[in-house]
Amino acid sequence: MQTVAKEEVRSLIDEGATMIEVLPEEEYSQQHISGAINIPLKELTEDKVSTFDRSRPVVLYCHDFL
Amino acid sequence: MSPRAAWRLESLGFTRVYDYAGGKTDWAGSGYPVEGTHADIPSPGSLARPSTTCTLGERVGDVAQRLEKEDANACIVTTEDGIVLGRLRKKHLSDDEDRTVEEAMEPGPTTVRYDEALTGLVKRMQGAGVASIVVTEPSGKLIGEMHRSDAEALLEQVKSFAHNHDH
Repeated sequence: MQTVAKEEVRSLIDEGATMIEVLPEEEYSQQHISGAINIPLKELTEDKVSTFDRSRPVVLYCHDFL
Repeated sequence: MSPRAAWRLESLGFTRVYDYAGGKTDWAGSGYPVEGTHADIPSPGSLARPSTTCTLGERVGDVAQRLEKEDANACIVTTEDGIVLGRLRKKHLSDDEDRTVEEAMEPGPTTVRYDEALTGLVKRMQGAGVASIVVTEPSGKLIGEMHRSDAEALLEQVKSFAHNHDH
């Protein structure tokens, strides 16, 4: 796992990365990064990601550093 | 929270997993696109205009020329990385053009975070008679300057939009 800054996130998006917000659904629906999907941390199970291409970049985020 | 999620994905066989530690606070504060029910509520970060900038070691005379060229009243002094250190106003430029920016600037100007509530901020600016304010990211990195008149006009638009939809 690698920590990245926003400039790298932009490059990864250009590359076709999947953006995942791991906050609860309510917070996601209020505001999220354009194009991101929502999988709250507690729901991050094998079933949930079974259809994802595992070789494609995935960027995870929440609010901030905290 | 996101590092835990990243480790989880790696344990599930994902090979290119990245943790964006700055998260949506950093993203939205940088003016990058967001979606959602609260995405359109204006913030100082979304209203900030680009500033004229300079660094500590520059000659005041060079900065004066730049301000003239860009028709700006002040220059924000930053580190090479864009962290705000001070402000150099046009009216404070002296005759001694060979002084450095560091010698002439006013250090530590008041700054606000990009995500501060706009209504309260505009009221405080009105009370203090401040026409513009420096807006930064949480790290102190410059985003730009928010002009009070821009914020007042926007709040007026939001108010009249809400009023028209109430009737």
